[in-house]
Amino acid sequence: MNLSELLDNRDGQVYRLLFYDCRPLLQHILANYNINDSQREYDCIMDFYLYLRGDEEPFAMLTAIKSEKALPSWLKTVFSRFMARRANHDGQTDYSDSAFDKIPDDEEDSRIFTISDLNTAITLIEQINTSYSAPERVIFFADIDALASNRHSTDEIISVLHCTEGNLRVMRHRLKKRVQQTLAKLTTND
Amino acid sequence: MTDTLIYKYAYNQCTPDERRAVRDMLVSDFSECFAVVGLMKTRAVNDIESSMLKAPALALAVSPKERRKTLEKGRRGLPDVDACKNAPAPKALPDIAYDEEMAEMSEPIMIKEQAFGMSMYFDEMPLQPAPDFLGILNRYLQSE
Repeated sequence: MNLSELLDNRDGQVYRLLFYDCRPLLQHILANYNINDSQREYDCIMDFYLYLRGDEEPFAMLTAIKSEKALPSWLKTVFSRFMARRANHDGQTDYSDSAFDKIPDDEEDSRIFTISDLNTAITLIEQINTSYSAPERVIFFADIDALASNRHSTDEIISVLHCTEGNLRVMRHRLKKRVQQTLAKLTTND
Repeated sequence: MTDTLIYKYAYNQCTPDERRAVRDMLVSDFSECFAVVGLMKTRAVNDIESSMLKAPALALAVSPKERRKTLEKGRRGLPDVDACKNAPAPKALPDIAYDEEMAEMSEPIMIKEQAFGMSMYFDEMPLQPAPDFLGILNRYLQSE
């Protein structure tokens, strides 16, 4: 299995690589951009995670890596380049409450879809389980599991994802939008 | 048998026939939906907690010189890299979920039902009527 396939199939491990195993290395680079608070730090690394999952270019570079020991230095190079490009575009997420309220809803999907039958619900859960990223799956299934047993899931998710409450709030909001879009497609196909 | 099938379903290891069988079972006995969600959550958490590095501490290699340079720039709260280097590597978790993700391509697997303790897991799951399951999903999606 090459690393491109590895990224496709083991996105949870890539998440761990960035947010657990190599986080100090990435923090070191982030410090050069005066990004010192955990919220912005997580935001930058999450953007990088999404970039790795969605861009063809790093895949080609990853496949050239022959040994595990080379992975951190590869990561350092690619992340430095990513951050330089990001700084040029001044891209960052504002976590203030007012900014959170302004997260734009996709007009096409602004309608709230509801699940009326068990078949649709099962198909939706199957799709989330097979095609969503690992952090999205953790949030969704932990939330549903907690709701079913009248618990709160926030602390549990934060400890797994190593993120802040603000990070989780934004990710949860985006996740719900995405699930609504998936549900809309399922409902339309019916 | 049921526990094994549900486990394979949550871990994307079912053949198409097995997948249909599980779906039929979930529609007729919706209380199992919560068990499936619980297993899918466990899979997602395990997925993140298993490292692709044999020795994750290797990845923390920031040279002392570089580290000093960063600290001098006013960086606060950087984790103690030297301490992290000596941290034990996390236990390797069995990765049965990803090698053959597609159901059609999956190899048949042998699961010792007792070994996973799944029977006990399912016994402890609260029985919920289907409207509650749909209600919970809808409530979640509509909440802010």
